[in-house]
Amino acid sequence: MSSCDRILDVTPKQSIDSRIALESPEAIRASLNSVYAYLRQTSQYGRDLIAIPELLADNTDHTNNPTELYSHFRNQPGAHMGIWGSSYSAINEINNILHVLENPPTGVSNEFKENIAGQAHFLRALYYHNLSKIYGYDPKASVDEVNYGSVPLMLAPVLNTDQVTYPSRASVEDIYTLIYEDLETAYNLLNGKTVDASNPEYYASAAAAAALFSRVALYNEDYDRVITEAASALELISGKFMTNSAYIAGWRQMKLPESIFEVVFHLGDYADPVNESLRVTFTSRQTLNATAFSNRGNVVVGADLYGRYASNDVRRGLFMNGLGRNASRIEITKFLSRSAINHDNVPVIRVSEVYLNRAEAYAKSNPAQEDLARQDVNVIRERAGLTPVTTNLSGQALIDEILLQRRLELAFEGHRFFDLKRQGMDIIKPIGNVRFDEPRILAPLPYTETQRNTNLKQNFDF
Amino acid sequence: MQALQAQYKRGEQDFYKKFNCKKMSIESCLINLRRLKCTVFILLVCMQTSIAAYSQRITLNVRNIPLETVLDNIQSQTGYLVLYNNELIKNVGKVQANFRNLELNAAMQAILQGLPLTYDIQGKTILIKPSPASQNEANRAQTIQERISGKVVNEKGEPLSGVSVGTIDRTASTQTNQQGNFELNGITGNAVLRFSMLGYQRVEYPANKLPSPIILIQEISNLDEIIVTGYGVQQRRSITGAMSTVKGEDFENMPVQSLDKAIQGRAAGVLVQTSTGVPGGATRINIRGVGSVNAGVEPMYIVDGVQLNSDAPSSRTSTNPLAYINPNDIESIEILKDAAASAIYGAQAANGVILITTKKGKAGKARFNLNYYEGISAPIKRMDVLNSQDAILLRQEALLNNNPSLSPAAALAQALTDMGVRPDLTEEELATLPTYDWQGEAFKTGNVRNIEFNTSGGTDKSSFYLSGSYNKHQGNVTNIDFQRGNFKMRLNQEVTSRLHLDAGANLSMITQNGNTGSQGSTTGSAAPQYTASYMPPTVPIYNEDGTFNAYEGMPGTGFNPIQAATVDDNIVRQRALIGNFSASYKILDNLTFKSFYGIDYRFIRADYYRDPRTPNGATWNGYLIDDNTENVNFTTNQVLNYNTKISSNHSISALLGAEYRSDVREYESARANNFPTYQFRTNQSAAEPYSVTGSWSGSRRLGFFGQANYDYKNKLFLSAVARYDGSSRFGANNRFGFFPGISAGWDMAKEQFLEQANWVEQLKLRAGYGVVGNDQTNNVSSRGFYQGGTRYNENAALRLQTLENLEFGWERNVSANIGLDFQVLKSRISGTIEAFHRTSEQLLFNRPLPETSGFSNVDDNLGRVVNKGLEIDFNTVNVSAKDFQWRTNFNIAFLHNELKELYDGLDATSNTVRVGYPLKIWYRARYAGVNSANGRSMWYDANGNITYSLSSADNVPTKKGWQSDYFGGLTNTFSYKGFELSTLFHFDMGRYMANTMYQVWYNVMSNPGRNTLQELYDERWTTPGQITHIARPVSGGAESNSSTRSSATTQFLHDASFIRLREITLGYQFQPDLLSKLKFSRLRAYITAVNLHTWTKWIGYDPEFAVYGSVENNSGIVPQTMSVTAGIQVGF
Repeated sequence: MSSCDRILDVTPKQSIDSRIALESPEAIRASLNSVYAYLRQTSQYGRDLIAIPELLADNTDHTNNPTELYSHFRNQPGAHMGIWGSSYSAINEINNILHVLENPPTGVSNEFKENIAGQAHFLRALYYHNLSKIYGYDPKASVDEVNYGSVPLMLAPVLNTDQVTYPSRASVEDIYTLIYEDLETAYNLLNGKTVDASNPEYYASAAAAAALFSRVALYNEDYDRVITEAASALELISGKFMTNSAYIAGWRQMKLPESIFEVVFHLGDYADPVNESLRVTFTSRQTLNATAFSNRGNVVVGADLYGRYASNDVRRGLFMNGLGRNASRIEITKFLSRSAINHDNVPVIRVSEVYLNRAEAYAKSNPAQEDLARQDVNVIRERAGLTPVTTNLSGQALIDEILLQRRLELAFEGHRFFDLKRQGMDIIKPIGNVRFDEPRILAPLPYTETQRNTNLKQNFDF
Repeated sequence: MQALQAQYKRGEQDFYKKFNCKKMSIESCLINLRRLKCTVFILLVCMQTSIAAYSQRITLNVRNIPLETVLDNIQSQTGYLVLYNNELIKNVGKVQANFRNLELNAAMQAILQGLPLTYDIQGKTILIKPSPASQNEANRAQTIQERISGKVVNEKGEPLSGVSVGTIDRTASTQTNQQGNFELNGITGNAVLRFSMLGYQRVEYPANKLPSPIILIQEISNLDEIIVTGYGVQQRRSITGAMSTVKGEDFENMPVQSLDKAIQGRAAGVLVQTSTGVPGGATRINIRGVGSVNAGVEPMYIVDGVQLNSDAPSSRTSTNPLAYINPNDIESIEILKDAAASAIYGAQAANGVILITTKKGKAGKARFNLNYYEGISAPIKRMDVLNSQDAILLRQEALLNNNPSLSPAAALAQALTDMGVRPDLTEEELATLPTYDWQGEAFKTGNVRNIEFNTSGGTDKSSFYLSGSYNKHQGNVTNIDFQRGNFKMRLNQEVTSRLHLDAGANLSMITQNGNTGSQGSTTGSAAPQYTASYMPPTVPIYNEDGTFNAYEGMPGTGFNPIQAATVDDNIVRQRALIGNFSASYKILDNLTFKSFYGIDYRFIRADYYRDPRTPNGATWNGYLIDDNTENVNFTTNQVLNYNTKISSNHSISALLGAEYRSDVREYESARANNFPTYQFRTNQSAAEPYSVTGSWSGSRRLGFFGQANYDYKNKLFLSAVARYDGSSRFGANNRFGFFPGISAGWDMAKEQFLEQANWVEQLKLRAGYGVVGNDQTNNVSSRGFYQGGTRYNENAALRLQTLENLEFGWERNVSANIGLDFQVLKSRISGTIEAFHRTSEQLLFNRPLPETSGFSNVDDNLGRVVNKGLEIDFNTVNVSAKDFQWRTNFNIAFLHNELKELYDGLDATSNTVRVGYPLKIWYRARYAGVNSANGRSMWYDANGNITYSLSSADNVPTKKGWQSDYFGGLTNTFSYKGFELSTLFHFDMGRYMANTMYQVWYNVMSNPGRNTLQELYDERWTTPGQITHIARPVSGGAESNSSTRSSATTQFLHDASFIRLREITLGYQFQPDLLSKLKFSRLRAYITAVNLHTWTKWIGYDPEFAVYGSVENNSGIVPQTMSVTAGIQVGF
């Protein structure tokens, strides 16, 4: 019968058995590429992590044509981000890579191992931070009665059915502990190394780890850590910060000059660029010089946000009237087929955010550091062509100014909703306010997931 | 007819003796008969008659009276016509009789007693014929005849070719030629000749007393019919498994492209649901219910021994591998329904097996047939939508409902803008605004054409069948059509008396034009079948110069779907070869070895071109995706066949075999962008390559099988079968499965207690039990893989794709079947009643995993589904008169399906998979109607309280599912002289489908630049207190803090049951006298209508669509076409 069995052995030509797949440095690197590629999905940075936080918050208007994402604009219950499955798939691939690197196959140098492991730790921190802020409350802003914890913490690799587990939700502290560890490890492993000399921003780096750390620590209101991590990030990326005169031009390049980490999109990387890319979501012009309406431009700029830019603010140059039936709408042009038609790189973290993270940390942590806070916020203000704030501005007013600059600078980059949420602030919008204590602030865990794994407690009221 | 009459003169006595006058026209019988005059005189002295009323009882008292006179009297007494030949009774002499009130038969016997005459009563006619005894005596003198010739015709007098003619001792044999003539040499005068042909009653005559012509009568009884079973043939009377047969002639010339559509409604328990109305498109066939949750539920198709790959050839439009075969080339289709019948196929047989046998040549002079039909295909339905004025008002209303602070004037201006009209229209301009009929442009009448030619013939050693055909069918939606050129041949050659070769090839080239979404259901803006009904009626379809009115940012969907469907390409070109070759060698007289090789080869090329003039194409300045798929599916089997008769009572047949099958699909696809102008449609002209991809997928199967059949006196039948099958799709630990089946039959009509009742021809009780497998899962289901195909920053990536499961193995279907076949009253009534119980277990289950594992599912063997059902197939010959016949077939199947268990005690894995319910039960929140105070939609939450806002937890099982409760067909065939009329009604009842298209119409009432159904508009909520089920439109589709008003709830579950007048055919067969003048052997004209009318409650174009493959719901489904065709068939 064994010869019969052999007749039935079919060797595929486009896949490789998972037990023997990661046996060479090339395969391990290719596996890590897949982890990066998950970030490109529509549900991740391909669209949703950028567009939906703006829609859920107070920055947008919806043209209703098509109605895609309209429920998010209206904050309908359940209309939220959904990155669960793709994030955990990426995390499992990371866990498998880290597992293989514990006993690396022959041909894997120590330098290679550290380089790959450093990137893997950075990416795992990024995935977990995004998961934790979508599905659970942030460490310092919670509705305690309905706080059921953060997301499950998965660290063991899964390749076969025996390794499948049914985890429950970890505490937000445990998740943050892992993120801290991962970012520290990533920073240490990657410091002084370059993954790709010509395009370091497309990959994890020590600077990216420190910069992301400044964000994570800000969410954790761990202000000292924000300040130290921001400093080390800024030290590593000195000279990247865009100047006033180069600001608009910077947003017309494929790669944003001040990106510390950005997800790259080459032509063809989008599964559905015509209907789901950021370009079609945000504008009705296919390219900067387009004169005819192009689908879809359904998520446009809200009047409230636009009104907050001073007329001499250089950032106003990023706003344009739409074309055709969007002619009376203000659209943002941060994503305008910069990489290729309907393809735009997506900055995940950039220098301006690091300044703003630190400014907020200074302003909130210690009145003695308000000067430093003002310095940081003025970096942003002055670059925008605005006058610097002076010592006249302090306390809550200073914090408000920093938050305003954060809103204006990072508009349509996926921050607004999370910035309100991490501070426990309500969303004030013409179509109806959303209080912080409402269940719809949190995304429901995927309904099927709670059915499959009864150890998972669904968020309140879903 | 004149020829027949002339022949009759020569052989009148034989004609009397052997033939039933009823089969001929009365006139021809009368030529040499003298009709007795009704006289009243007749020897009243000796004869008492009572003729007050006609009666079938005779009173007679005569002595020494000429027979002629007596017969005359009988005619007067009974009113029966008495026919006889003067010459015949002239010399009989005088007769005597004395009886009272004797029954006619007895009276006739008494009268003719001692005379060399017999009689036959045919209806109201009494025929007097020479008695067989007298014939034999007369013939005894004759000895040797050197040469015998004759002509064989059917009941209509048409020559029959290919009739086997031979002596019953098998010393000589031949076949009739094209003219029905035969010639045999060296026949002794007392030899008996046997005339036989499939489908005709066998007859035997002494060689020296052949009638001329010899008339073969078509068989109504099909008990002796030879049925193709797995790897062999069997007589129908000995079948013990559950099988249905559909004959090719039943659907001859039906204007459909594939046989699956042709058998709809014709076989009990075989549910055929057309996926879409795309000609040549996909169909879902389901035999005895759905057994699987995730695995394929398609039957296995075998064409002349070649196992077809039933995967959809292309996903660019709706395609169907069964369209490779011209339905008119099919001789018969056998459907093996239960495990006992299909276990010989073990693997894949879980969902039944469909055996397709194509036509073969018959010995005789070559015959030629030409067949041509042409007609139209027309849309079956149009939806009633709003005119421009109402559509604008509706939009204004939706805007005001959303934002009451808006002034009506501002809302109107906005509504006009949304509808693509100048916002400053005057009232008068508004009132005269034209309404553009988008549906009228999208759904149009097309034409249908079929031309075919075939020739067949051969000798007793070899035969051939060759055919060529061209079929064209235009769908009724813009740019959807089908064209097929087909060539088919079949050759049979007896090389030596022991070696027999059989080869066949079916070549077909199909070109299908599709449009966006024609592969199944769609929400594509460029799909006219989806959008035409809701395109804004205010927007013209064409500019004044006749060009398309199309520009980016058009109101509504942004597309002119008619333009997109017209200028874009979605062309699927298929080239397919189905070839078979086998050699049979008779090792011993009762032991045959057969070596079979089959190939199912396809090359499929699809061009997907987006014209730069459309919004999709403009983005890229035009782009072309060029797909190439090659599929090679090879089967071989080696089978030993043995049969023996132990005595005349016991016969045994057995077979033993092995089979190997390999199936490999390779695919590559290239896309390039940026074309100089729209006329350029190959990638060579594109400026910019965009992507290239490819794939390889293969599977193999290996099996060993055996079968033994035992037959005791044609009365008791036993059959045992077993198969051991391995599939590469399964985990290394579980690749092989064992599938046995056993069945028995008992024909009670052959038992003594029923043998007396000679009106019972068959009463066969059958029972069977068996296990079959299913491996219709992904080729690599059991394997854990990293897969290529993704990239990051232009570097290749490896993605962890699947989770390994080494234990993954066969899905098993255990089925029990009990059936009763009956045939009574000279085949006037026949049929089958069958009950089955089918348990599918160890299902090929796509087991959901917590996604935290990194995987969303793994293939595993879990769960159990039970299908129970009752099938009734009933055939009657309602009227069988001389010129008029009326036959009926009615079949119906009742089905109950239930998911018995999942795993780990789970009640449900997904919304539609719930223990204790049929599969695909709808699980949804309940609609609570419209709040009459404010016009808002209300729903019930999980606790039954009214809510405005739904969550997933509010879904409940609804008891409504998409599986049919019962279905079947009713065929009536009427024939009158050369005319034949047949009608087929098909019904499919008790299925509830999500009417997503209705949901779209409901939803778009709230959207800018859309149209909607008149009935939704008429019944929408407008005023407080109004009771209705249609919520008020609100721009954006949701009231504040509410779920979307068109949320998928029970509101959109509709009854998709229907009864359809599927086919009507009226044919006329020209009569032999005309044919002989024209030198044709056959001339038939016919007219066929398909899908003439549908009775249904469904709101939408077509209730018939099968959720299968790329059909997920009825959004944008291409509806079926109604067609009327007329044709002519000529044989010579």
